[in-house]
Amino acid sequence: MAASELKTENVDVKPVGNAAAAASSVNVRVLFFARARDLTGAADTLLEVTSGSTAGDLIELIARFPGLEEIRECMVLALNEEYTSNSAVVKENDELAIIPPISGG
Amino acid sequence: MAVRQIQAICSSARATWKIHAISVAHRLGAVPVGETSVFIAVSAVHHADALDACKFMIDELKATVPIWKKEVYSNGEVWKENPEFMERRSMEPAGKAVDAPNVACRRICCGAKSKVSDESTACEMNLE
Repeated sequence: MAASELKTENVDVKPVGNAAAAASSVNVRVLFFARARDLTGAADTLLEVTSGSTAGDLIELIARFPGLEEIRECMVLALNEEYTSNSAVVKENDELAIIPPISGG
Repeated sequence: MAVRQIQAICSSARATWKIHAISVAHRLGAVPVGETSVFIAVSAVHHADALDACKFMIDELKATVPIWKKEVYSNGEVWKENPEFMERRSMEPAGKAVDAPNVACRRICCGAKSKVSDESTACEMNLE
């Protein structure tokens, strides 16, 4: 079954993050590479999440998209072109890259 | 980001060894089988420094630079996975997708999910 195009309006995207945080939200672009791009059918998507959300929160959202479970255990994250951990807080206009196992060289 | 990471590796090499000049090149796009995909050159007064820095750089590149290689065969294709990346992931907590130090990444992640049945018919590599 071919992966359908990733449209955020087709997915029930609920705000996540600290419940006590302000109601403001931040827009984060998530980039898919290699196998992740194959699985989602998209090069990138825009997510709107609660201010104070972490990279890990975004991964929870992204994991709802069919197929990404396959690489969940082996992928790493990069926030604004630098490797990061799940606990990094994302800000407005940040870019989070989903990086499956690499194979340069 | 790949360029930034390569620059960071160059800086690390310079901090560790006394080297003169560094040159790194990596092909992108389709690379026919048998052709070179990566090139690293290091010059130094002492050959040991040059060789050690060169080894360090290729090992680091294979462990951390976000470049992917897909091998295309006549009957399928498969994304390759560097053992250097997998080993590095199991050692360092930072950058892991799952905050669970006890979780060992499978030896092969996406590489097993291929349509290839006959590996002797390799055609070309797609680097992106």
